[in-house]
Amino acid sequence: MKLMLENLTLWVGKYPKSIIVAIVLLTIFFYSGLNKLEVSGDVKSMLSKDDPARIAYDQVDETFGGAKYAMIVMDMGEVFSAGSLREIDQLTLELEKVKGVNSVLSITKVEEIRGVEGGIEVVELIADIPDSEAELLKIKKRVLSDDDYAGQIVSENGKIALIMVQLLPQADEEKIITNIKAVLHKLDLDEKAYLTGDAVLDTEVDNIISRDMSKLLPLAMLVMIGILYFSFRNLRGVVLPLLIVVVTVIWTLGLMGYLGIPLTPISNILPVILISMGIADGIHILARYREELSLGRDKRKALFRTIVFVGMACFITSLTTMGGFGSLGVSSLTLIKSFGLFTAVGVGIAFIITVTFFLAFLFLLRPHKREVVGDNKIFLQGTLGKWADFIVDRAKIVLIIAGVLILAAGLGIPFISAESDFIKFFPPGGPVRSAYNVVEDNFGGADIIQIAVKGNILDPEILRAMEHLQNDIKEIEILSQPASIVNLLRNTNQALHEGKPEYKVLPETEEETAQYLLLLSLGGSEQLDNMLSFDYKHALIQSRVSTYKSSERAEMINKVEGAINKYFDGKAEVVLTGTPILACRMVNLMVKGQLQSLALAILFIFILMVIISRSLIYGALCIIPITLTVILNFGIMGWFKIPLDVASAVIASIVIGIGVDYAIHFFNRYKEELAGGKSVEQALKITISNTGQAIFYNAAAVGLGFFVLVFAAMPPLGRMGWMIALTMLFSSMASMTVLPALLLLRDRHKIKT
Amino acid sequence: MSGKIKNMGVMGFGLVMGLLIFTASAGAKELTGNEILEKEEANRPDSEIMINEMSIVHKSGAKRIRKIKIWMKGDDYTLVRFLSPANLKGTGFLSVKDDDWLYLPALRKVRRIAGKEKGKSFMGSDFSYEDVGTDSLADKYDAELLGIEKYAERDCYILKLVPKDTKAAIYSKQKRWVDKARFNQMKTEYYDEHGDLLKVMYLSEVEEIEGFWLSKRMEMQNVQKGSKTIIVEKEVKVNPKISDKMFTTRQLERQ
Repeated sequence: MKLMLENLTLWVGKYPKSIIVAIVLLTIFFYSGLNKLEVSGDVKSMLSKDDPARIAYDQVDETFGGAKYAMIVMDMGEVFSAGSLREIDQLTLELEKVKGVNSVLSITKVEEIRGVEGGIEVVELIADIPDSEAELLKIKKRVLSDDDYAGQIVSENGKIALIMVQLLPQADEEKIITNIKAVLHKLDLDEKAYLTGDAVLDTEVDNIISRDMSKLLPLAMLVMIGILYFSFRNLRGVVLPLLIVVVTVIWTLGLMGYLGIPLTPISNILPVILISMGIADGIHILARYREELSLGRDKRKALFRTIVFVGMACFITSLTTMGGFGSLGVSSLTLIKSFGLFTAVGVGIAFIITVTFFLAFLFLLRPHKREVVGDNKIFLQGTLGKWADFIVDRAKIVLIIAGVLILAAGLGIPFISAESDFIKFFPPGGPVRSAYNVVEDNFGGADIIQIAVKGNILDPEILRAMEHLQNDIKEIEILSQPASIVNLLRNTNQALHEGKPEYKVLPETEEETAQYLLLLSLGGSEQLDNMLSFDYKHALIQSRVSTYKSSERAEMINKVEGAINKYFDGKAEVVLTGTPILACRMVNLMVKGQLQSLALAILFIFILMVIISRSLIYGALCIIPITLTVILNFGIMGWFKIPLDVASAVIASIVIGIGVDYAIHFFNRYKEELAGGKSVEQALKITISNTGQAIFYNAAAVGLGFFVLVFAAMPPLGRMGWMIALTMLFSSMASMTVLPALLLLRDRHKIKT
Repeated sequence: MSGKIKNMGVMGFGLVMGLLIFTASAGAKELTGNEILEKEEANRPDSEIMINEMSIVHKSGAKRIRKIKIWMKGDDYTLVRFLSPANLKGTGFLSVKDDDWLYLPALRKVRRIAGKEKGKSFMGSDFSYEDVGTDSLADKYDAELLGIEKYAERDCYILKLVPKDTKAAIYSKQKRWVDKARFNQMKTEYYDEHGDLLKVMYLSEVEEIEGFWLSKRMEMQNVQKGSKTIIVEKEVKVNPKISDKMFTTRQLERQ
């Protein structure tokens, strides 16, 4: 490996200009891939294509003309006034014309099956909007006393109306939502209308992703510039490492664009990560190069020594970081998988750019005067020296303090809870959250669960099972009154029997049901299509879910699944799906994947370290600081009630991949010094005061880089920002306290024996 | 110089084309669009009794197949009796002008259905009453002859039908292919109120029955909804005498 690095350095030293030109050309190529980069915040796309929950969802989507809805909440003050009803009616008609919209349901559109003298009518509930107060009041009384309507499309207090817009399967959500907004604007309803529903949430997530990206990227760059200036105090020290990250980000995102991999709420932070991590190798190399120069070596010699000594460590740290992120590749969630894999690729690219492009520049540029004089070691040198003395003198005390700290944190781990709370991706107080809350308070929730029944739906036994299931669902607190063909058949039966309440029951025979359905279809019922497939082989039960808390949702799902097994028991094929089910499925996969990824990352790094150090003990010692950091991370999540969500789930793997770098750099230098004939104590002191400085800068760069995420509009990303910053501090501290203390105790002992 | 030659070429081409069109139109027996439409109508019986198999195919591919017996007189009188599927057997449907009744054997009751009027679909299919009816089209539409074209290996007139009363019409325009020799309809395109193509009807298996050229297979594709309906005529009686009493709710109740 060392030989390879030497050859590489020789080669770069020989053709620096050609290398720079080649990299620039490739960068132009990848840059044009950026145009192809897409954004996707769709929950469904976060699950892999062959996931059973996703398959069930797609089936419902196809069979019933769309499983996704946009909801428009209309705060009218009074829904039952001629003016309000007309506004709703007009909006409904306009929305029906929007391309990609399958159906629109509102108070002025909803159908009623009415028994009339000698016949039955399938008519709109409000066929003509009356002007007289008395008529309006009559309608209001009727509507609000019927739980098919009250709390479904009009709030129980009659003040808020809900319009449900069903999107066609595979429709262009973003375009539809934009068009819906345009319709609202055209009708001058922006003030009264709020948009929500899963289709809207998806598009809003996309918007936030794009906005965050354009806000956080420059901010991260700015932070890096500050850190680089602080570390190197000259233009070159700032510009060269920045060039590495700019090229790396362009290559990685361009590659994603060419491969058609979209940015998700998580991979959205990928550029920020690459910016703060891509700089690390540059910092270590530049720091060592200056150290070599200050010892009076000439440029070529200094560069050779730097690459041979630090380049090796950079190669290994890049490998471990790739391992940490790459371990996320085992996740069954597409979202986390693509994030992990492409960050790993990005880190690899950063290393390549560093040892070619960056190195080529160093070869071309004449060393700076100040670099040669070596007056850059002003900061921290003294402090680190004292630090080194303390650790070498009191290794045992250091270990005891660390042990107590870890134990205290570890006790918090059992308190961690998982959360698939998608609404919490949105800033509190924003329009999306408020609309969501209004729907939750007045209409039983903005999320819909769907139960698809496959079999001969006309079979009275199946219909009765559906009815029983619906009765159970009604009793579940967080679920709203379910709707299906059962409700429609009961209403039809009642209407066919002069509206007598005792006939609001299911028809008894298959013939009756078939004839009722014929009647409904001849009557022109449009609502039938969303509940029953054309061949009567699939039926759909829908119910709204009122809370986004994963724990309660998980319990609800268990109850519903229990009821399905109880009532159907092989009579029909029944699946439970819908956005909330997808989200819960995601949390389960996330927790499972998290543990697998963690184990894999630690194992990978351990094996790598054993191979490099050719010693089991050293391998184990190197992973101790990160293992402690991971415990601390989960402990903090437990103590501070930070839920395990799509963002925080990846933290541990990131920490392992990045955090181990400090131990590696430390260990690398320590070995180098020992090989140079220094005693254990001396070697540790030199390492702490020299490599310690680079570790400090590196951790500050990565930590502050991630800290930028605090300004992300999505709260989980914000939390992720400060948590990673904190863990960077922990793992760098652990590498400079626990690791030297352990090395000291072990090696001193070894030398004595 | 070269410009001049080009212009002359265009002129020559125009002349030849004009001559061709002139001879073509002179060659036809100089029937006008309306005359062709009337001839087509003369080829339609006033009443029919038939047994049809109707398959309605949803855009999802799901199908409903029904066997029905139909008594039809003009556009205004229709009686339908279901022969299959078993769960609809005996169900009857009566339509007189704008009123519809359904007889439900399971309840042994006749119920009037008042639904939403939307270019009224025939038995929930992609056909409207007008598409399958026997009423006069010449009263409702003005026809213009667009040309002659070969369709399904037959020479066909191409007619453009525009409603006389646009408000009452369910289509803004129809384009019809009418067999030049037999005067039966071969294909029709229906356009909605925005002028967009809505449905296309294909007629095939044309047979001469009692002097009428009738198609035994009609397929209507709704291009906007993605659905289609295929009606295959199994038995047909042309111009039978059907009493108006046939089209009453009392008759409907009798199985």
